[in-house]
Amino acid sequence: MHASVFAACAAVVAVTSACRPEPAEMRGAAAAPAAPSNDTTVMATAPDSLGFELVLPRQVRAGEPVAITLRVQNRAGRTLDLYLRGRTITFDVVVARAGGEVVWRRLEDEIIPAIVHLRPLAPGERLEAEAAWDQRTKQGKRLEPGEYVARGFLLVEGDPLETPPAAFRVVKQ
Amino acid sequence: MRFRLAMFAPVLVVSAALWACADAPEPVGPADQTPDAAVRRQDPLPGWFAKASPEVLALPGTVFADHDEANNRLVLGVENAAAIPGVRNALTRLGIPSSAFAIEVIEPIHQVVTLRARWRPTQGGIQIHFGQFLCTLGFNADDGSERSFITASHCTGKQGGVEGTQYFQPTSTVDATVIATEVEDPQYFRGGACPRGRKCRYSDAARARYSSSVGSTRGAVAKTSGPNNGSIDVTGTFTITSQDNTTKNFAIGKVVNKVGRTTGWTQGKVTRTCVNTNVSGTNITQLCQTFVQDPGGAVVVGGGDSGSNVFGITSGDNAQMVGILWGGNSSGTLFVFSPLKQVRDELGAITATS
Repeated sequence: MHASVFAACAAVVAVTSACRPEPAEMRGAAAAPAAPSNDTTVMATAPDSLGFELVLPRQVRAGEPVAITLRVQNRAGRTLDLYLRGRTITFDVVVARAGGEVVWRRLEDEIIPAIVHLRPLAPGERLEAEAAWDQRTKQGKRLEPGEYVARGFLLVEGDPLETPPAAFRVVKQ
Repeated sequence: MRFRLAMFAPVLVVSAALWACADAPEPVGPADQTPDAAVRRQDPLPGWFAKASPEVLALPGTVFADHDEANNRLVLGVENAAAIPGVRNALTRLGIPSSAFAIEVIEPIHQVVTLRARWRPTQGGIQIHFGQFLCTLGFNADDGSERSFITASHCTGKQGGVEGTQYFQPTSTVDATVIATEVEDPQYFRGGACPRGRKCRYSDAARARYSSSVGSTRGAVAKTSGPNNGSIDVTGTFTITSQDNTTKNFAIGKVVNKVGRTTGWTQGKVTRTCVNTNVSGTNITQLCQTFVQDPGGAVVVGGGDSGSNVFGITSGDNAQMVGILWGGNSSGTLFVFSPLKQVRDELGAITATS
């Protein structure tokens, strides 16, 4: 079972990895050669035109790797140009205790290439980026069993796009 | 320019009616016979303005010509006092009395052009486009007699190795001219100082040779309105008068600047020096890099700023080139650059000064 939350977004962002960064893998149709719009400015898409989703298990055993997937889908009837930061899609994940205390930021202390990737997204097309988390905090401690909340951030030109919170539970082995 | 429509409207209406119906009866509307209308009909200023504007604006150093209806006079703007006599003489020749005009000195009016616009000749700090990516043209430089620009190594088709990446400015959509082609981007190495399992370089920098038809200005970097204000409107130029070819350990606290297509002119202080830096999401380590942050936490880098020049300001708009920006943290409050010394060590001797 997966916690899956979609958000309507007006723009696009990027995220990076934290303690043990692993290359974010980008899936989806091969990107067609792209050129930016004539005005060369960031394309702010209309509200509700992008579906933005963070997917992770609703319940995980303590110490087991957590697979995290960020999905972006074009819900508009036309191609949208995404201005993504990094040569590959870059996304952040922030995990907090139910009380709000942040225990992990995927991109904390990460240095990300400051390049913009132009990625046209056809109507209905979906991009996915994946990462794995070993359930260790930034201090290297194992996460304690309990309730947690994760948010995803897609790094784009301008402010990152944030998913709604996705709750998950860590249970004892 | 401000027009008082009331002054012209009756005349225009009558003229149009006569033109359209040459054999029609005389206009039937009541003529404006008020004293005020009589005064307006006799006002010579509109006629003087019509004659003065083209004459004056053809003169060097002039900025604007205005019929100032509120104060019932003509106002002519000039860039400096030296242009005043020429304007006054022109108005006198047209028979306009000195009591009917004023001449004001005003700053010239510049068209607002951004770092993402088309620039010819090119200069540092402007947007470049290749493949599916946007970056920043760092600075123009000559390698021997080859006109070139320097940008980031990851702003090429393949980071490390020359594959002849073609660049457009600002984009291939706006201008399909290939402005330059990648000619230098050394391979990343393994072993030695490079951490196990990773590949390394000392600079994230590459060089592209200009197409012969594309003009470039060596020593010029576009300047926006101020540091850390988010503007990308170009208001002037920094002039590279020197380059630091020797420093790899910059002093902590040294103030440096950059101009890039995303966040414009930003400024911060060196917070770490000669840092071996893993590049997020890759197996690349950049050796001996420099970290910069604004003490106030301002955003100093954004996606698209890769390749930006990094420089110190020596006096006024004079700059000393010190490196090439290639990355930053996710919040944009920290940027990382490769020292120019290391860029030259890997790309060879390049000259960036004016």
